[in-house]
Amino acid sequence: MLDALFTTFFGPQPSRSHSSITVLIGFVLLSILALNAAGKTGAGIAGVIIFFLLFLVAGLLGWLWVSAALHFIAQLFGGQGSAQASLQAVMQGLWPLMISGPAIAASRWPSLLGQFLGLLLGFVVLIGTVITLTRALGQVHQLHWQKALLSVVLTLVSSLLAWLGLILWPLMVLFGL
Amino acid sequence: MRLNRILALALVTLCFIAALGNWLGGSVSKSKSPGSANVALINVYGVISDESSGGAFSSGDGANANKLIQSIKNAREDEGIKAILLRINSPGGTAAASQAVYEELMRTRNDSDIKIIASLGDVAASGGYYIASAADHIVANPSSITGSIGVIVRTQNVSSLMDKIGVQTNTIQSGPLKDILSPFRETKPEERKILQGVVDESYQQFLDAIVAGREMSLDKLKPLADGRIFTGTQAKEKNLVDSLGNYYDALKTTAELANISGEPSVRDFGKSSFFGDLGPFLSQSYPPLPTEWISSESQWPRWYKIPLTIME
Repeated sequence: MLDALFTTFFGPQPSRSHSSITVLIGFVLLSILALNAAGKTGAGIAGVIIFFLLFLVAGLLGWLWVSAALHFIAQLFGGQGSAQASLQAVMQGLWPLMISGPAIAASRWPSLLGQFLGLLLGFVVLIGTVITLTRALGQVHQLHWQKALLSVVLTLVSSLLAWLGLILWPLMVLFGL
Repeated sequence: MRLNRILALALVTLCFIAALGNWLGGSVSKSKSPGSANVALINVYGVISDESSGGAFSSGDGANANKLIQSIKNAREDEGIKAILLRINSPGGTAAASQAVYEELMRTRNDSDIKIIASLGDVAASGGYYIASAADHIVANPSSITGSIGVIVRTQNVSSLMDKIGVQTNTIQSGPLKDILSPFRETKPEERKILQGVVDESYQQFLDAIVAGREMSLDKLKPLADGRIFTGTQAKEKNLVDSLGNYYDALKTTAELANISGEPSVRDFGKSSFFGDLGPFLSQSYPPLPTEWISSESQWPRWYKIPLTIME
């Protein structure tokens, strides 16, 4: 499993079909994000558990939405991968979010170096996530990297628009009726 | 391939440990990060004591000295805070707990630029006034009850009642003074002398605290410190408070003293966050069952077991 994990992180992607790797990355990501959030709010162990459960629900919803949107857009660009492969690709492509743990820890160091390192790692998380998502999508759908990147960008834009709509629609109903 | 495994494991472990560190260090960084508020509100409601807060199922009655001290420390370490506004509504409490809170406030007053303002509610007597005296400025309502500067030790002699109901008490003790304050016999002259010494010492500490906090002479204070109570108006005339007004007047004074331009932004530093409240619930042992709670000695009226109080 560790070999498959390494290959998912750094190598070419024969391990994409490993659903166990998808679950493992999902679990580690949820744990790290829950710990980060609990640290920010000064919460106790109950807070970590609540954040974990909250992120599990939110993460599942987001994962399904982003995968569906990516899959749909990739298909529009001539993608050939299955829906299951898109789901796995999205989860495995999000692994750089794990580095948010060291990034936040570094930014808390009381020195300029810490601030710089925190900023640098934060940048790595942001750019790394886009790159790995693009690579993963390109591989499972056999898309050129430019098309894969465009799919990722369009997915992010459509997600933001959906989120905006989610806010505006209830407001429209509330004030309009 | 062996190196691959080590690298994958190292990356996951490093990220996980860092996140764990973020969580464990969360409370420290939270207290140090400058918040948006510039006035820290700390409520001192109820009897001041050092009793355990009792976890998530605690009734929350009374002012726990340790919680107050923690709130004061948090406010002091928050770079954005320019003033502490104490909202006091307390009849007093134990000498040690009131003194501990007073000392923390004085430390804040002496070691930082933070201004401390006390706003008195219905009552800020005895231990409540002890704490208020550490403020740079005290604001009281005209009819707030304050003063009661003094120390009291009270004991009952229930021996005749015990005789009537046929209950005898046997005491086995390591020394003659171990059962001092026993309610089952008359207080001995030797015990009375010891207790008077303790009361006098504690009273002197109380007076010294007011002298230091209020910057008034002991000669002026002594005639006012015979245990009598004052209304806010009377206390103003006697220089025990600085101005008359309600909470919002106190807030205005806070803004003026701390040089806060515009509307002061207030944050309640005594308020626990939702997750903070739940934290101890799972991190410590569960509270006793209701039946145990009722029979537990620790839930009996608390003042019978506190020998030295500066309330009433």
